[in-house]
Amino acid sequence: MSAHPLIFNERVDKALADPILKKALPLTQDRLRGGRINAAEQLGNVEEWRELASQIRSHTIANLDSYLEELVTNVRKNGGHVHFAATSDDAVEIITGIAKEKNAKSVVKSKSMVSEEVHINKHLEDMGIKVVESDLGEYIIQLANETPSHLIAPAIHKTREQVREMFSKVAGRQLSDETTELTAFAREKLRQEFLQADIGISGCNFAVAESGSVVLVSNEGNARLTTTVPKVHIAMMGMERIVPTWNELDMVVSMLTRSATGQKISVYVTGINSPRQSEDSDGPEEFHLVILDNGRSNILGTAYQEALNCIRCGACLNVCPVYRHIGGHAYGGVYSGPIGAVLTPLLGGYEEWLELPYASSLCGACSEACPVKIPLHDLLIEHRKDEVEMGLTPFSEKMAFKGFGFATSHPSVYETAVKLAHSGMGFLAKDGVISKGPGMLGGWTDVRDLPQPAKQSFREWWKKEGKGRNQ
Amino acid sequence: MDLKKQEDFLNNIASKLGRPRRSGVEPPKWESKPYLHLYEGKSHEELIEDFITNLGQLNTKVDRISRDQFAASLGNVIQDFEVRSTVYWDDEALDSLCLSDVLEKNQIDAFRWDPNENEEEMKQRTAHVDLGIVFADLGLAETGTVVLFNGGGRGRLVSLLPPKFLCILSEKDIVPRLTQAVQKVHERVSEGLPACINFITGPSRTGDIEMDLAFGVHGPGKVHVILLKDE
Repeated sequence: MSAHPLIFNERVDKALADPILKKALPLTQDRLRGGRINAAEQLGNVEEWRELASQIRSHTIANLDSYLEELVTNVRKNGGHVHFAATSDDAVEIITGIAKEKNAKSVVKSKSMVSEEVHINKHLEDMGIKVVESDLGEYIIQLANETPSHLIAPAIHKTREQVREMFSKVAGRQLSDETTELTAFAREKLRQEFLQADIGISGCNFAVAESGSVVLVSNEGNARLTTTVPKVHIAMMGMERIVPTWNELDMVVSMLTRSATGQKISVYVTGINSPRQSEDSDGPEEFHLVILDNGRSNILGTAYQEALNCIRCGACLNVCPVYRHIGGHAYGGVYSGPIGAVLTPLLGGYEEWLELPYASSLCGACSEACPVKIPLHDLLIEHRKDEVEMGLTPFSEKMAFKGFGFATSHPSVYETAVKLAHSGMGFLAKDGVISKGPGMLGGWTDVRDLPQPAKQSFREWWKKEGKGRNQ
Repeated sequence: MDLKKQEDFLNNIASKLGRPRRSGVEPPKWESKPYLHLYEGKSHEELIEDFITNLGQLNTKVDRISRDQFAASLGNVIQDFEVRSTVYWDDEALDSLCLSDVLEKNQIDAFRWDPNENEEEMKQRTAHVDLGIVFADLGLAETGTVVLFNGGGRGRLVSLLPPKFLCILSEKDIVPRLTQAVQKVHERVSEGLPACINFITGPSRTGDIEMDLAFGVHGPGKVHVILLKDE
């Protein structure tokens, strides 16, 4: 996983002291969460959708070997190349190998969290290859030499003034801070990059086993450019990102866009089914699919298997009281928020990520928001339990204390958690409470009194459950 | 070597799942159909109205016209979008509307996406025209989506590189939602899918600068749909 210079508590303190984050995080959370709630209300029966989406994901993961075999057979039949990467190093070797063979000078990328996992940009740049991120948010953080801080909105921690400065520097002229001027500049600049790039690297929202397809979901259109303009297209796929047929794709795409931004569908859903065919005069001549394990298989057959159902919508980030205060970078890994706190220790090991399961108030808002019903807060408890059972007891007790200390020493985290956990209402009503809660909108320093919990407080829970688990 | 890697990879998954390797698994018939109530009982006319309303909410105007009004309708788009140049699909459905004649009459610098032409030149030209014109295969009422089965004269770049996009669609090809569209793709798998299928819903958008909505950052920022009445 990513190397991070600061230890967890230092990263949290840094985030809490950041005035830009303090403004940006609630804005982003409220906007995205509000969109999701509206979309759910429009459906009217969101629980049924969640249940079916969950069943589809669980069935697919339980039969992952079969569906992956079907996928790669079809990719090859369609004229594509398949590469299995057991580790991050394997993926790097495969992709740098293709770049070398193609004598590539430049690569354009559309958003891929898997590519962040293996740090492919750095490895390609070390070979002297120019790598350009084309998602506007990713381009911004690439210029700032940073990493994404949100699954869906990677650059929420940058202000328009910062964007203006960075873009002006690239442009060699002074740009205004108007969004339209800044995006127009990005369009012009990135279009040049697209037209001269040798290789396009994309992620993969979902692969479809029955047809050997890679499906990409985007709003900007950069994923379409990445997979259409350069002669070579490499798609990087986490091995669990697959559905059996196009029929199942319907459900997961419908849930992904509604849960991520509240859109009924994204502007572009693009099915890449093969390299260009004989009658075509556009599209890549070569298609490579890189399927990455990188620790995922170790999650199979464990209590955490459902974490692999994740469709990377970011809904759990948008309801999390801890994420709201510390943002994505404080988590330290590629994936942030509740899903990051669950996944990162699984992919990267407890030794390095011992504290992450404690970056949570266990309020359960994440589990309620998850469109594929991953019991995120249960899995966080499971982690705490496992850390103890793996003989990390003395240290973990210290951590348990720290975890408790984290929530109680940051009152608005505590308050939000209590509100979420004890509202005693269903999925929508619970979120309704958040949007009306004045404590959520105010700065955490405004809130010093701990509220009276309605039923059972985190403290009480901790006394009964948390302590019990540590004995 | 590659095959061994594959076998190791898949065997490892089976072993971690604690069972023998599986092959040829097919998904169960899912009993639940949570999307049914979104369109059940709606007439085709209502679906068409939904399609138009939903695109309207995404800054996209839909002209619902009969075929003999096509020239006038296209003339309006040319004016509204200030079009001087265009690229269009080599497609019988567009030819049947006499598209090239109408463009010529409007003195538009127009060219056809012709797979026999020089590829690099077409790409460069497409990158510099004002408007791309295609004829969609399907429309989705619930979302206002148009579905394009690309391939051959139906180039992918036509709906992508120009800053403005005109999509023509027959009313009869409007279906309730994504469910029906993916079913059609599913049915075509055995005969082979085109290299790329696009589902496009309104103009390219981003909220990456302070969550402030902006159009056209990569794909077309302006989209117009001409919906042909069934006759």
